[in-house]
Amino acid sequence: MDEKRNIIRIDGYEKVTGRAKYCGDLYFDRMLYGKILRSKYAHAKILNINYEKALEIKGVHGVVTSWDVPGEKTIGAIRFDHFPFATDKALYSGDGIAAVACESEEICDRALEAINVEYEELPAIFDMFEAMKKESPIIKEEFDSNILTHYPLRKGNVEQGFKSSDLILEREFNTQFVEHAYIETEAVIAVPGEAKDCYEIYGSIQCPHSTRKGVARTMGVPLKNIRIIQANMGGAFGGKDDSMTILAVRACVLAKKTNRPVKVVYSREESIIDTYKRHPYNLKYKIGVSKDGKIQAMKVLMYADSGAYLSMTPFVTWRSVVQATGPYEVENVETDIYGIATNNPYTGAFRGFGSPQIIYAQESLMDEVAEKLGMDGVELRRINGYKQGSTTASCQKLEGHKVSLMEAMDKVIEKSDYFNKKEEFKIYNAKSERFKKGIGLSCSFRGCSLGAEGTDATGAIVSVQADGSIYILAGLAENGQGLKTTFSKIAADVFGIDVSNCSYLPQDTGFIADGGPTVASRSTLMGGSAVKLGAEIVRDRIKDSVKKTLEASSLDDIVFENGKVINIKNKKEIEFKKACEIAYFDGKNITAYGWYKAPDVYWDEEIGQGPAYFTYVYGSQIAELTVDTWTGKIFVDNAYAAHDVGNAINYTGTLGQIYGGVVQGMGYGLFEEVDVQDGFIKNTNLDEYFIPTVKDFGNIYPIVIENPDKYGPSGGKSLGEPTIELMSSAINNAVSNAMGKRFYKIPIDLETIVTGKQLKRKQKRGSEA
Amino acid sequence: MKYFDYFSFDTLGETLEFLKKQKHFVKIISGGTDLIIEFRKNSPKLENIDKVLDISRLRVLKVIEEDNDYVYIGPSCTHTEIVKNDIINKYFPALVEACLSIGCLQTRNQGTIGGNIVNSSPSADTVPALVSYNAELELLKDENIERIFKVKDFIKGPYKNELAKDEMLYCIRIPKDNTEDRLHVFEKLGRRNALSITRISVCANALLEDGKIKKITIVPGAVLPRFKNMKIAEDFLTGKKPQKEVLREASELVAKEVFDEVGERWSTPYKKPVLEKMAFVALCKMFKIEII
Ligand SMILES: Cc1cc2nc3c(=O)[nH]c(=O)nc-3n(C[C@H](O)[C@H](O)[C@H](O)COP(=O)(O)OP(=O)(O)OC[C@H]3O[C@@H](n4cnc5c(N)ncnc54)[C@H](O)[C@@H]3O)c2cc1C
Repeated sequence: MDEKRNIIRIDGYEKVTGRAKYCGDLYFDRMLYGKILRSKYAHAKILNINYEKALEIKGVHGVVTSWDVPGEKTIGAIRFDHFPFATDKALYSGDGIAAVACESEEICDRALEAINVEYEELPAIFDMFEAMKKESPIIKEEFDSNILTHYPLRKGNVEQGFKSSDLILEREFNTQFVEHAYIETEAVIAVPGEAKDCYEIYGSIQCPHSTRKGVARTMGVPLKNIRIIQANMGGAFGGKDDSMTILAVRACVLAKKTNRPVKVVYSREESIIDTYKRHPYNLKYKIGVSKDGKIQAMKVLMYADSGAYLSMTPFVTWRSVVQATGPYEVENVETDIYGIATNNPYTGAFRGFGSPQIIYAQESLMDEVAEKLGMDGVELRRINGYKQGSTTASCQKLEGHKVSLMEAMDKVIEKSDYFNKKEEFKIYNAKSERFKKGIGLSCSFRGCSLGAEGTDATGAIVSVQADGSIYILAGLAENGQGLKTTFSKIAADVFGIDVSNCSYLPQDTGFIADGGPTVASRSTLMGGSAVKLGAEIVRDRIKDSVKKTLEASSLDDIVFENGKVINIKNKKEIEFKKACEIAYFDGKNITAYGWYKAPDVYWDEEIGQGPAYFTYVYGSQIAELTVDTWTGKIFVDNAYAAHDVGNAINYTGTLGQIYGGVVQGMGYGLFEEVDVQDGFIKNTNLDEYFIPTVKDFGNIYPIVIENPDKYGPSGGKSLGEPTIELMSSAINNAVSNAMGKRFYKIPIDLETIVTGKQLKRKQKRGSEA
Repeated sequence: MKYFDYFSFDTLGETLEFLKKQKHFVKIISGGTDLIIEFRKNSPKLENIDKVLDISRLRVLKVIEEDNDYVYIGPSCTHTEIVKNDIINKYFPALVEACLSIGCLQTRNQGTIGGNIVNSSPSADTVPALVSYNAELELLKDENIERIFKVKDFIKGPYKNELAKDEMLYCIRIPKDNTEDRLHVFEKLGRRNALSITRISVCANALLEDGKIKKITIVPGAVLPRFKNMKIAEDFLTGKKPQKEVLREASELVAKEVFDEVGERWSTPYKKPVLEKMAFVALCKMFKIEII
């Protein structure tokens, strides 16, 4: 355990000393700068683009539009519906119309001003319910309605369930657009290769192989012609997936046009305007329970605003449908989720991926139901919550892994002293006029990795050198989450050596196989398993070579420990280094490819039934807070987060994930909302889009639970996303506990607390904040 | 991004000389924490401006001194320098609190009090404190021609003030009457606890005599187009003992005076009750009355 706690981040040195180069720090000979012209309207026909004037400006080397895209005009992870350059029509305010490549960014600004676009403004739709009306125009021609996706789930008979209920509660919840707000904005450099029609693309790219697909498609070249090289990443949180493919395509088209390297770095404003957000949801929950607290039926109807493009909406909403009823046994379930096209900014992947919305709603609902039944929310959760062998809404039996929901709840309750605090706060609140204190809990289960979304396999190369040092390279990417360290630790453990012996090679689609996207909290589970398999192949080859030296009668007698390779029978040992040297001179290939394919999963789309994921994680969080009822300010004094991670392979990294996710969850619940008015974002920088600062929360207490999973490397599984999905409902429940009043919309801002609702300024005024 | 030419001189004389010679409006830059953002946004406020005059190297604009009547603060003093200064801490603790509440440490290390005043935002945090202390500004044209304004008269409205195009802010001076015996308070509310534009602030100071309020000033921030004293509440309180109910009534008067002036806006249903509460909290804090 102690050893796990003291791993030094293997890319820490370069990041702390500033030696690490991010894409914005890279320069190439004869490099130009690119900038994007975006739409003036949220919905418009593009009649004409005249850029002759721009080309006359000194230092402008090229202007490109959709016409210059040599291959297909569209990209898309699920359906090819997204135009990196608007073709005929602009569908939202962030749509790119043209791009320029110039000698400086300043010249780019002037060139963009000199481009004249003639538009014909079209009626735009910004409201999901408006979009669903029969008479509304269809926004996306390739779909036959504005309803882009629909996932149903049917189990049992809900009408019957409601009939046998003593209490039926119906509640509607709403969530907001949210911005990822990674520190580093999007950046790409497209470099024309030496060979014909080849391009190298450097960038802040979360899923290099996905980006490669989109670039090759639009450039009209085979995959092998495009190399995506990932620069160091200043965060992604799911936000640098298809958005970066769009940017890479734009830069690459400019590079082709000018035959020079082109660098495009988005400003914070561009980053906020251009790229996707978290889906706002409208959620209608109906729940029936019997007097004793047993849930009889749940009916859930949800709408997700997809904005102008499909992006990840199908997968995001699919996860919502699988998990909508929460970690509870419910016999009768009817769930429907619709993804709706509007002319709003498009929405896509964001840490949590369709779970923060539903958990906010369903966990708030659970507390309200419990209150109506006269019991504590915890009791209601204990009655209905998943236990070993429980069955999910899609009739999957939870087995083969430890169902640790109760353990997570028990631990977080104990650590926070939940029940005593509730009593204490009752006394405090009765006396206090201004401040009200509250405590609230929420819990969740989450399917690990991609599940039935699609193919789930990935690879890694483990290359041991003759001196015992090691190169590692995997198909999944370091986005700041600490993957390099965790993967190195997994390999180092196989060889019984310290992580510091490992180096992680730069991510390059030319050197590693496509192992799917770095998403869905799948890296440790999937990529880690591939690393482990690769390392084990090499280990066994080394064993074979040193068998003689160690006078071992069986390979099973040879173990790798504390930097040594040991024959446990005769206690003969050699340094790991020496063993590598022996294997090397023995002519052994001490580099290997590990490949891991996930166990089979299945989903019946018609009725929404099936074993959606091959394993699950469980977690529970508690928020303890003070509401200043006079100003509306909420301060989370203490947050507690218990998560089953299988095995905390990198303990510091585990804590980091929890701290970060909890705070991001607080932002989701209390501060953050992208203010979209008539399709345009009003708060385009971080002075008006509020993410929490270090002064905006109190203590965070992580509780790490380790029930090793048979599918994970050394039992490790998912953590990144579970950490963000619980805080908003824990906060909502704590606020209700404090104020005796419930809210159904996030963020719970100052105005909500004081006036009961959010207040929106219509027009921007300089003097008003 | 708007681009500009940059000028900087070694002496105050040369700086003023340069200012006088310019036909267009030149922008003086001090810490740049307001101005650079305007340049980056290509703000319409900077139309016709293509020159920037950097005064941050002039040491004369960085001093803090006192004589019998006044404390003098150079406009180029950063918020951090003010926070650390003994004289200011001794006489004007509410100004220290105001400076401490600004942005984050980096902003406070870079931003200056002069910039905060001349930028003249309705949510400028040092201004309510300066107005509450009845501070005055010395504006300099050339080395002899000096105009003096009270801070509250200097700022004419959001981002508007009396500064002439060939003029610079030379000094902020604050009278020292009874300062040592006064009680002071600065309360600020933002959406976040750091890096957050003020939604509402209340600054006040008071002098007690025989347990009664002899003199009191109350100046709210971020709620009015111009900064001013809350005369009605101040008059109401003068001569009274600072008791909870009295303070509560005074707070109602503060909110009433402000919203009678600005009328109903999108934010009024929130700001009106909260200003009242903030005023109450500030007054209670100042007179050391506990509220929970
Ligand atoms: C992240 C961030 C957070 C912030 N938070 C706050 C906050 O909480 N509260 C707050 O009040 N402000 C805040 N600000 C605004 C800003 O930091 C302050 O207003 C600061 O005091 C401005 O000082 P400066 O020296 O940087 O001004 P500059 O940007 O250099 O100048 C501002 C204006 O003053 C003029 N000027 C400056 N000095 C003189 C002079 N001597 N004579 C004539 N004209 C002059 C300039 O021409 C310009 O018009 C914040 C800014 C940032 C970037």
